[in-house]
Amino acid sequence: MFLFEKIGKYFLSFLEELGSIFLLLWKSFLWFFTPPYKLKRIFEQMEFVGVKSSTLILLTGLFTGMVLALQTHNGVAKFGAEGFVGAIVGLSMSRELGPVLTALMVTARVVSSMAAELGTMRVTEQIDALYTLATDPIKYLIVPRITAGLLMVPLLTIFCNAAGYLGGYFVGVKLLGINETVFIRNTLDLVELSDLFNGITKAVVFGLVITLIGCYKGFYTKGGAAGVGRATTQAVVLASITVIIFDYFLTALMF
Amino acid sequence: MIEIIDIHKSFKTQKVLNGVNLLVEKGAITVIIGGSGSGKTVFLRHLIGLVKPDQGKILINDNDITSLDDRELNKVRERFGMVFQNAALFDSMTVEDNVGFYLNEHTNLEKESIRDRVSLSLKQVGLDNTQKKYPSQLSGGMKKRVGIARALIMKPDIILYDEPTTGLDPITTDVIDNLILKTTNDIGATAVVVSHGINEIFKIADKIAMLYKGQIIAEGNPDQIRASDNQILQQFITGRAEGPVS
Repeated sequence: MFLFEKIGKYFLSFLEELGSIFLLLWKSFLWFFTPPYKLKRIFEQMEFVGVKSSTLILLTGLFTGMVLALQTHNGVAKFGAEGFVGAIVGLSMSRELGPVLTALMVTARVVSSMAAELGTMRVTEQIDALYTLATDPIKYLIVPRITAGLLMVPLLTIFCNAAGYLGGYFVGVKLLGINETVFIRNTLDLVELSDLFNGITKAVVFGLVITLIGCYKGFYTKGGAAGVGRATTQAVVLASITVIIFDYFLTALMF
Repeated sequence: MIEIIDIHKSFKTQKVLNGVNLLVEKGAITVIIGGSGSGKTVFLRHLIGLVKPDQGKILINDNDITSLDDRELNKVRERFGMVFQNAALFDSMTVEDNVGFYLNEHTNLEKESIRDRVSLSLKQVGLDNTQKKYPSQLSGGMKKRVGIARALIMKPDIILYDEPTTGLDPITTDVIDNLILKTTNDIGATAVVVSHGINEIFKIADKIAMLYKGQIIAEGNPDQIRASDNQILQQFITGRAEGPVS
């Protein structure tokens, strides 16, 4: 009986949390369309989420492309299929690794920071202070962050893909000596525009979900410094695992 | 005028307010006293809609704010200023941006004009020339004064102070008390102050109300409070360990 009670309790608290997340999303959606529109704050967040993550994403994409080329070459060389290394790198990056790795890196750098910042604002009453200054904190703090995630994660994904192709090209053609024409022709033949497009669609969903989770965990932080630490950890863990789970279902739907 | 009618509030199983009734007169300073954990801050937060009661009404000029939605509440809040216990300054902003926040967000005033108003507001609290500092560079007393300047710039009809002098030295406490008196008189605002400081209470209050176990157990002007025969109130204002409150 005790076990069932415990399972029921967890299930109810899960549903409650899910409901709160959707409610926050809905309120953010409504506030997004409510004037006045302060674009400055959205641009500030876009810079934080996008521009300031670009070096990290460049390195992630570049080295992922490089290692993919290296590993694939080791495998397919036995069958004399080195010419397909570029295509395999291109497909892997566009469909999976570009959006997933970008989302995970943005989670590590940005979502953690969002949860910690909003959590600190909550426990030091700065969020309450916003209410008392007749400013809705969802419009002021959360709408710009989610909007920035929605716009910048797809852009970073494109950047990550490009860096990955370059890394693959460099290792495949320059280091391993694969014929350049074959490498490029096979890549262009096998990687279709829909692969790129579907990968970017995934990135849009990831961008929304991870920033929403970071904002949610930070915004509803309770319990001082320990609470902020807990919220930050939970935000990163939940956002990362959600990316992995959503990736499967989105792939099943799209490809 | 603020009329609080039969406010009840619980957090999970803990009953914090248990039928609070109080009348806050217009233009007067009402001080809420009570022991730590007696629900004073929760009560204060009800007045500005930061907490919704489980039951009861809060009438501000006969308008019940407990039934308003977020957007309507924001309209009402434009008439309020609130000074938090730990000032609650935005730590990513300078003093100037903190104090000018309301004007930047809710008016179309020119930057220059906002800067002048901020400077004036900071002068009122004796803190000119701190505009470019960040909250982390200020002392506790200075933070509270910036918090007061941030609330005053809205020219509010009602100002709420949550333990404005807790943790400050006696001189700074007196400075803040004088500031509360002066600014409330200057703009003719209604003030509700939550406080522990006995000297402060009798210095600034037009009316004192004591909150105990979720209810107002005594209220009146300072003379009436001094003369009250309520044992709990007397123990509190004389600061004795022995008495009905242990």
